[in-house]
Amino acid sequence: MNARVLRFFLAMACTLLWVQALAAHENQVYRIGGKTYQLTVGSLNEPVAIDDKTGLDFKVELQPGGGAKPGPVTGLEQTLKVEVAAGDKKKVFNLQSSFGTPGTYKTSFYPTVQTTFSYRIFGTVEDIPVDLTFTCHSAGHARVPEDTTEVKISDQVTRLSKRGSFGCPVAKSDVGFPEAAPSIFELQSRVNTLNSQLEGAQSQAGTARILGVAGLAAGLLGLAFGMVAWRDGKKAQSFPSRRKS
Amino acid sequence: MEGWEKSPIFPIETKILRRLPGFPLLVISVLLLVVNVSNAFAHATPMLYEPAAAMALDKLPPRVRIQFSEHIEPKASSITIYAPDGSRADLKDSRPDANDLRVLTVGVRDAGKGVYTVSWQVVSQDDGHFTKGGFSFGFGSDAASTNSTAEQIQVEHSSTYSQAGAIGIEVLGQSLLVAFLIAMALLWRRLPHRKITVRQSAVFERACQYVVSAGIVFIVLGVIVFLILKTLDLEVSRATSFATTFQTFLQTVDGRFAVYRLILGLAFGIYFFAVRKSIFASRTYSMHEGILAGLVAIILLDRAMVSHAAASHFHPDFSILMNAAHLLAKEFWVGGLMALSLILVPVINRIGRASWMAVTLTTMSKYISAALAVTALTGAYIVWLHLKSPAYILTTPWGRRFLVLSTIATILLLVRMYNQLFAERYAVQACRQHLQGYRREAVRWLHYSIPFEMCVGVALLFVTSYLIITTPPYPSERYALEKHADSQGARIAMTVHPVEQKQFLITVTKGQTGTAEPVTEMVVTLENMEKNIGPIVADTDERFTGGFTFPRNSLSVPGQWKIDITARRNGAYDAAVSFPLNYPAEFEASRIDPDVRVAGLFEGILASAAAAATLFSLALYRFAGKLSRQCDVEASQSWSTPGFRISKSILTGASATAAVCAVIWMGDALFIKSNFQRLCEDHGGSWTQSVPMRRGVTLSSETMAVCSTPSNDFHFAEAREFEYSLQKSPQSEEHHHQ
Repeated sequence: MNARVLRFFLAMACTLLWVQALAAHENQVYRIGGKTYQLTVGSLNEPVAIDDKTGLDFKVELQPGGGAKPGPVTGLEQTLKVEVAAGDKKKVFNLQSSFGTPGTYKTSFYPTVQTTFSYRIFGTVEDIPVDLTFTCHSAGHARVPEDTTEVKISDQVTRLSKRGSFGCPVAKSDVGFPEAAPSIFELQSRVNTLNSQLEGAQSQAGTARILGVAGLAAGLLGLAFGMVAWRDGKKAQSFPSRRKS
Repeated sequence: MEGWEKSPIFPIETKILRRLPGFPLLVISVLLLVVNVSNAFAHATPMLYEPAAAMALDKLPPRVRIQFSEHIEPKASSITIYAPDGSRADLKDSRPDANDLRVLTVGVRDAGKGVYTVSWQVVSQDDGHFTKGGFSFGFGSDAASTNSTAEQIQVEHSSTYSQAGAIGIEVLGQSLLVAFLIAMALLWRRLPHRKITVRQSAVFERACQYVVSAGIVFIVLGVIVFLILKTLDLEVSRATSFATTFQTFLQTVDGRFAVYRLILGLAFGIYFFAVRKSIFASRTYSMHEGILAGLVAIILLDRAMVSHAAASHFHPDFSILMNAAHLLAKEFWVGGLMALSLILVPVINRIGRASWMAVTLTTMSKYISAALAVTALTGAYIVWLHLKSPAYILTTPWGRRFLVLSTIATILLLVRMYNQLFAERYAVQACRQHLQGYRREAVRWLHYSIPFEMCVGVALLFVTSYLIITTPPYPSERYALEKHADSQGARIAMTVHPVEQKQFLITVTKGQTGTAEPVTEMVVTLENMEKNIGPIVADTDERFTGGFTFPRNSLSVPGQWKIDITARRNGAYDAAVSFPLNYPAEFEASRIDPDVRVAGLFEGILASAAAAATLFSLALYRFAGKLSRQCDVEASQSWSTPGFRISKSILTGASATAAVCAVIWMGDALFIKSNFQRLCEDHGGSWTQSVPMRRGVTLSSETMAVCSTPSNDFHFAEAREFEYSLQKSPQSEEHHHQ
C-alpha cells in the first residue's frame, strides 16, 4: 500500500469521525444582526457516562450572505460565557477556544448525576446580546426531525433552523466494564442513607442504654426493698407473741 | 305453660311438614319453575364488536357480531348497518348466535368503500333493560375517515328511579300478602281460640282483608306502572308507537313475567276472597293457605328470574334460587313486622291480654331471627356473585348502592336488637306483673318501635328494588404486569393502562408521599439487544400529572427488551429508570381472567360475615324462644297501653320512614355519585356508559362508565385524565359551562 492510498483512507476515516461527532451534536442556525451563524453544540466525549470528563463542545461558523465572509468565528471566548444547569443547580464557566480548530470553544466539567444538562450561552456576538439555551436529550441523537420554523429570540436574534441533538450522560452502570459500578453520587447517596440509619440506630441505642440503666436502678432498688422486707419478716417470725399482742 | 301446650295449634312448629297441606304444592311449584329457569333468560352491555370499532378493513366480513354481557331478546333486539351513502347495508336478518345467546349478529352487504355505521338496540332477557348504541368501521381506501365518525358510539341504559319505585311498590304488595299469611298461619292460631270472642275474630279478619286488598292493589299498581314505564322507555329507543312498543315489550321475558306476576297477584286476591271464610274458620293450617303461599312463592321466583343472577356465569339456576330465597327472607321479615303492626298488635291491644302480646311478639322474633340467617347467607352469596371484588364498592353504581343498602340494613338490625333484646323482655315480664317506670315505657314504646322497624324494612325493600335494576360490575380481562423503581426521590411505575390495554401506562409519583409528580417531559427509549433493534424513542402521550402512555406495539418484535424511562422535572434531577421486559411473554403471564373466581380475602370476609350472622341469628332465635316460653298464654295480666291509636303508631313509623329516606337521599348524594361523576356533571359533561375515546378515536371496545364531553370527542374513563384535561384547557372548561 503506497503512501497516497494510506493518506486517502486516513482522510476518509477522519471525515467519518467528524461526521459522527457532528451527528451527535445539535445544529442551530441563527440570524444575529444581519448575519447568519451556524451554532453547533454538543458534549465532549459523547456518549458521556457519569463521572467521565465532559463539557461543552461549541462551534460557531458564519454562513454566506449579508456581505459577510463565511467561516469560523473566533474570539467569542472574550464575549460569551456558558451556564451549565442540571436539576436546580447552575454553574457559570468561561469558554475556552480549542487549540487548532478556529471557531470552536469548550469548557470542561465532570457530570455526577444522570440527568438532563442544559448549556446556556450568553453574552454578545459582535456587540449584539445573545442568550441561547441548548438542552441534551436523554434518548441521545435518535430521531429528532429538523425544525425550520423561525423563532424570534429577541429583536436582533432569530432562530432559522434546528437539527439534530446531543445526548445526556448515561448511567455508569450501563457502560461499566467488567463490573457495572454505581456512580460516586449514587455511592454518596447510599452512604448518606446509611449514615442517617446509623444515627437513628445510635439514638435508639442511647435511649435503650438509658432505659437499661433505669431498669437496673429499679431492679437494685427492688432488691433492696426485698432484702429489707425479708429481714423484717425474719424479725417478725422470731417474735410471734409480741405481734399477737 | 301447661295450658299453652294444650293449645290446638301448638304442634305447628314440630310437625310443620305433616300439617302443611300446601307444602308439597309449594315444593312442586318451585321445582316446576326451577325446570323452567333455564329457559328464562339481566342489562346487556356490549363486550366485543366484530369488526372492532374504528377498524379499517380490507375485506368486508359476512356478518357483524356484537357480544353482550347478558342474554338478549331476539324479538326486541336488532342491528342496523348504514352504508357510506346512507342506505341500509344490513341484510335485515338480525339474530342471536345459535351457540351463544349473548351474541347478536346481522349479515352485511358490500355497499362500496367507506365508513359503515352500525346501530344496535337490544333488550336484555335477563333483566329486561334496554341498551342501544352504535359504532363505525371503515372498509377500503376511505377507511381512514373512520376515526372521525367513531364519535357516534354511544350506549344508553334505561335504569331509572321511577322503575325502581314501581318494582318497590310491587315488592311492598308481595310483603303485605306474606304479612297476611304470617299473621294467620304462624301467629293468630297460636293464641287460645276458645278465649277469642266472635267480635275479636271479626276485627282480626277485617284487618287481614284490608292487608290482602292493599297487597293486591300494590302489586297491580306496581306491575302496571312498571309496564308503562318500560314501554315508554322502549318507545324512545325504538321510535315506534306506544301500542306497538307495548306489544313488543310483552314478547320479552321481562314484560311477560311482569304480566305473570300481575295475574298471580290477582289470582291470590280472587282465591283469598273466595275461601277467606274457610281459612278464618279453620283451627289448623289449611290447604288454602298452602295454595296462597305457593302463589307468593311463584311470584317471588318470577321476580328473581328476571334478574342479573340469570346472567351470571356461575350456576345461573342456583343463583336465581338464591336470589328468590333472599327476597323471600326479606319479605318474610318485613311481612312479619307488617303482620304485627297492621294486624295483630292493634287487635291484641284491643283484647288487652299481656300474655298474648308477649307470645305473639316473641314468636315473630323467633321467625325473624331465622329470616335474618337466610338473608345473611343468601345476601353474602349475592354480594359475592355480583360485586366480585371490594374494589368495586366505591367505584361502581352497584357497589355504592350496596353500601346504601348496607346502611339501611344496619339501621334495621339495630332497631331489631332494641325490640328483641330490650323491649320484648319487658313485654314478657308484663305477663306476670304490673310494670312500672322505664320498663312500662319500653313496653308502651313497642307500639312505635315495631312500626318503626317495619318502615325501615320497607325502605330496605325499596333500596333492594333499586339494586335489582342496577347492573353489577362486569370486569374485563386485566393485566397485572407492573414494574417499578425509585430514582432521585421519585417512583416510576410501568403498568398496562387499566382502560386501554393497548397502551403501557407510566406513572411518576413522589417517593415519600405517593402523590403525582409533575413531569415536564417523558422520554421512553426501547432497545432489543438480542435482535439489535433500537434504541427507539416511543411516542408518549401525557394523560395526567405524572402519567404518560406509550403504545404496546412500540415493542415491535417478541423478545427481551430494555425500556429506559427518563422523567424530566422542573428544578430537580431527572428520574431515570430502566426495566427489562420479556415481551409479550411477561405480559401474557400477567393476564387475569375475570370469569375465574378464586377464593381470596374477599371470599373469606364474606364467608366469615355470613357465618357470624348465622350464629348470631341462632343466638337470637334461642333468646326469643326462651322468652316466649317464659310467658303463659293463659295468664290474665292485662295489657294496658292507654292512648294507643293504630294511626298514631303508623304515623310514627311513617315519620321514621321519612328519616330513613333522608338517610338514603343523603347516602345517594354522598355515595352513589362518585367524585368523578360529580366533577363531570359540574363541568357540563354527561355521565354515560360508552367506550372510552380520545379526540374521536376509540381506545377500547369495552363499554364502561365514562364522562362524555359536550363535543363528544372525549369519553374519559379515568378521573385523573378528565381532571388533567380541565387543568390543561381552561377554555375548554368555559366551553363546557356553555
